[in-house]
Amino acid sequence: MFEKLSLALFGALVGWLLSWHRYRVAENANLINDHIADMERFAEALRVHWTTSYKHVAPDVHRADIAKIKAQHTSVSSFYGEAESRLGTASFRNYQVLQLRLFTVGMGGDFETVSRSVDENAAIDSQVIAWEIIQSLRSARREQYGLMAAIHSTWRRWRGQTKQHV
Amino acid sequence: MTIDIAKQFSRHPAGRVPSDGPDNGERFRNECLVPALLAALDSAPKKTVVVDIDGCRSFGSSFLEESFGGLARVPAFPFPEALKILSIRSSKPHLQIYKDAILGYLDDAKARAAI
Repeated sequence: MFEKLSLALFGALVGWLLSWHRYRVAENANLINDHIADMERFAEALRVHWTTSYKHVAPDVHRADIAKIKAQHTSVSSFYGEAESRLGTASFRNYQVLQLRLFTVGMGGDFETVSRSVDENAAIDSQVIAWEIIQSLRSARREQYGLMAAIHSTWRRWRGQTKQHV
Repeated sequence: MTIDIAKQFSRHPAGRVPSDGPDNGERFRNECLVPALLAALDSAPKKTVVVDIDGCRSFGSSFLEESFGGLARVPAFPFPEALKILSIRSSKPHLQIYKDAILGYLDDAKARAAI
């Protein structure tokens, strides 16, 4: 009787753990998928921006384009803020370096300089870095399926929430 | 000593130089950051200057590089000493990338100044 009860409880625990693991994987994978889509749109916006000459364009048109890119960057910066808990520390370090490099190349230099001409180097470099970020996100998405990744992710999020309450 | 960029300068800082717009990095550096750092360096004991970025919506890299990395380009400004009393505050996760970028630009400027 006791053995059957123990077995049933063990089975229920394993079932709960598996469903929790599936939930964590799905949640993180969906967020990473959304971020990949955001990154593709952001990279395309940067490509258009840097391959456009604003020499003979009204400054307001240029300012409007800058505002659009900054608005799109909001989705990038939002994910960046919670990326460590989603991607894991090791993947996050690489992601962090690339994301900061993209910010400098894509939204630096004479990004906001009125009447600037085409900058093909910034256009190409930002695409290459964005592609590297997307590749690193795809790798991180695959790693989500490991049980340890889910445990670490839960631990980091729980620790983060605990810190906020202190 | 705290500089709240959103309250004391602009919620939408943008651009590198005055021709890019009124809330540009060069103006923020010269009118807010440098005077605050010089005043703090003159105080005894030396105060810390905290730059709070919480109220801002977003930044361009050009604004941040000109404001913070540009400190090393200000003539006769004691950049290495100023670095020791400067800190950046951000409590919002979506602004973390800008804080990291600022710290990166300060590190780059420090490395260039050391050469």
